[in-house]
Amino acid sequence: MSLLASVRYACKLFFSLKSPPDMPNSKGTVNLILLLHLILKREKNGENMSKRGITKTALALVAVVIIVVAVVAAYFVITPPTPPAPPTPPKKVTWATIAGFYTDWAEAISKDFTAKTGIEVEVMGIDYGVMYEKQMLELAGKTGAFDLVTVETMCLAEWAHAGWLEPLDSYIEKTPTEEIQYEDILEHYRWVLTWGGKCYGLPYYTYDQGVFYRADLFEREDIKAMFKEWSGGLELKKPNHEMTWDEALKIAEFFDEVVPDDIMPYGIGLMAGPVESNDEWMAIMWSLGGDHFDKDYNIIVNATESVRAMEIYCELLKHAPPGALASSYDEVVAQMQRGLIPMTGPFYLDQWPNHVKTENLIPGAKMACDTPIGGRGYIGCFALSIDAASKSKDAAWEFLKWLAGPEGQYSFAKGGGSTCRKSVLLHSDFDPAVNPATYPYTEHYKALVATSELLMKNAPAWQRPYRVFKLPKAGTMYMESKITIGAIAAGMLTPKGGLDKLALAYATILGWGYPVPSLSPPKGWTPPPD
Amino acid sequence: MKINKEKYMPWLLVLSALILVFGLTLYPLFHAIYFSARNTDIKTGQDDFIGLKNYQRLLNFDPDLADSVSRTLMFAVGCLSIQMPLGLGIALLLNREIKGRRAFRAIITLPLVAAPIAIGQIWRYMYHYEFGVIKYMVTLLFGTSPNWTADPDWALVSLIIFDTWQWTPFVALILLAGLQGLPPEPYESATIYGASALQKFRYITLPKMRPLITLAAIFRIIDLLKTYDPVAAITWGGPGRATELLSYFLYRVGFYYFWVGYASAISLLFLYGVIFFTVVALKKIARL
Repeated sequence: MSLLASVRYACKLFFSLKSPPDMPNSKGTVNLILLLHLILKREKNGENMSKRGITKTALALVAVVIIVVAVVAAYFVITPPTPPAPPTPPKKVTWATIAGFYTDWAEAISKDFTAKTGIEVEVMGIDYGVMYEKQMLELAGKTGAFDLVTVETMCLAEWAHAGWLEPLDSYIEKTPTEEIQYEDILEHYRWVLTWGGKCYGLPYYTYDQGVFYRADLFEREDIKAMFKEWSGGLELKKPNHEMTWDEALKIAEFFDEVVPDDIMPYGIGLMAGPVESNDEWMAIMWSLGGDHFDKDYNIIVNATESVRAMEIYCELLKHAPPGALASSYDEVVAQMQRGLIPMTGPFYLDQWPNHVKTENLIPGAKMACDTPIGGRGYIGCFALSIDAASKSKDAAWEFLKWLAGPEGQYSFAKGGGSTCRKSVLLHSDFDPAVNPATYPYTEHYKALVATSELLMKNAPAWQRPYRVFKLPKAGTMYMESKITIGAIAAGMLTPKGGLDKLALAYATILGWGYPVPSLSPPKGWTPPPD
Repeated sequence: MKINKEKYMPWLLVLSALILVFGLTLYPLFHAIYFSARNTDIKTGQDDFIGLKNYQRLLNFDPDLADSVSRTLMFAVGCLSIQMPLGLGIALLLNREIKGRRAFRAIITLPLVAAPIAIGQIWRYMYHYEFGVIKYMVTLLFGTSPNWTADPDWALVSLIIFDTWQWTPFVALILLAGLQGLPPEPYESATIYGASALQKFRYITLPKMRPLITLAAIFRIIDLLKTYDPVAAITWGGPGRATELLSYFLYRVGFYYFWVGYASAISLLFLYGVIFFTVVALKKIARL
């Protein structure tokens, strides 16, 4: 009889409460023993089991039961059961941040925080190229995988509108002022990280745009004279917010076509690759008075100013190194370090520590940075927000307020990071005039503060400074603009044709008009709150 | 009661594999079919039933999708037209008794074992406009070099070159296996009758190798149509959309815009296309 058949037979006997044929009047316990015996020791050759075999099994079973009961009893006698411990709050938070971006600092600062508070921080580095998607998936799935997420300016509205982020106002109110100093955060970040009247994030890293240039070249008398002669009497001005983009184009052309190649082969460095080209174009567009939407939220991304901005961008590209269409920000830094470009386009001020290395690599080179050409640049920051699905919100807030607070940001600045706090940016410890050792890391701090003040001062009240960031679809529109601007820059579309296409794409993304997209908001559409 | 082991045991043994296949393949497929009939936007929480509107949209000439499809077909034709003859040539070479044949055979398989994403990152630097080794060598040979990944006219070519480098050995190995299975008698007869090497190749080798060549081509076409890694590693779909192949377009729709319904519809249509092509091609092979 096979094992399966034995079990089936024993079960049949057991549940039918029938005695085995050779053992009349034996039910219940004997059937159980029989079942066990059949499972443990199968019949062979069709022989019936002997009473002796069943007795042996029964005795063994009883012995096992007695031993188990004795052991358990002894355990409870010697170690009385302790009452269950009260639930303790979770002591670990997971922080999703950019891989390879001040990662060492992130790990170090997390350890400092753990030593201080006992809350462990797990730093999850995610490649920037996929950070948006990866975080989105966890937030949308409400997995709570990341207690703290790293939010960029163009996706905060999207995530806040979807209810994925925890509002921070109640946490800020509960926190002593000296620990958070909310008003110390640069004003435009407080504005952009607020949605619907609630604060959803605190910034810890800024990459606002300014401009970088080789001050030594702009100060050389022979180059200045060359420019004056070539331009018909104009002075060679240093790039800053007072310079217009037409002037910048002229300077780029000058350095590219007039200045000998052994001094300067190209005119400007641009990040015209698939990742950042739209950031550069937007800065030019805003400085010309253009925008994605007008005051009434009509789409004007294809209006005259935006098209002119794109035309200027395409002209600038002619004076950039040949690989500009595949370049990202690190490529432009490398071009500066190799002495290929005299200045950048609208460029992230946080890259000062990399740009300044040019002074060590090129004899006589002197780097400088300033407010963005035209007075307007892309405002970018990495902010920390709490996932609404986090199971450790309080612990997450402790880390968030510490990292983005005065102490954490001071520590970040000491590590060479670009902070978003005015008090730290203007602290004498980080002023190269007072503390020259900080020059390679903090020379750009004043430019950051000046850029912020310019933005809030010059932007019309209804832009404050860039209202597009308040739209929940801003993230998607931003991604779409990357591709279209890249296509125009590559010559695959004309500036006007490409921006017309972008305008329709915006309308499609926003769901305005079907089947023909409409560039004006439909009746009854509610503008996003501030 | 005797249990019929022969009837149930095979099912029992493949049960775990079936669960895996169902879980990883059929279930996502059913899910994709479900979502393709809905207007699902993860970001807004929108999830409405819209029937066939997603299919209507993509069949009503979505220009971006149409561009991606045509670009993908160009990429596939470009790769295949180089990889098949080159692979056959390498296979013919390896089929001879040449010195170092074994070592060469091992070396050419190296590109196959490397992860496309990792190798793609290296190739991105090899294509660099200033210090890339490819630009240097092409300039040495021809005096000038295109701006591989920054020129919209050459970016797709740069991907074709990369794919050819990586997958020609695969074609060569399949065809080599076929060559080594060919009987020697027809060649001996041909030699006796005074046929040249070219005639032997044309009238004996090629006809006999036709099923295997077709099979290798089918494998490659299916792979080429779903190419994603080189695009993600080398060009990011740029400049503009110059190298945005269908898989990358799908990724953008599904994971940038999170238009799950539309992405599901595209991927299903793509799947049907590949299945149809495979069925037709396999029937053709069976007839050979």
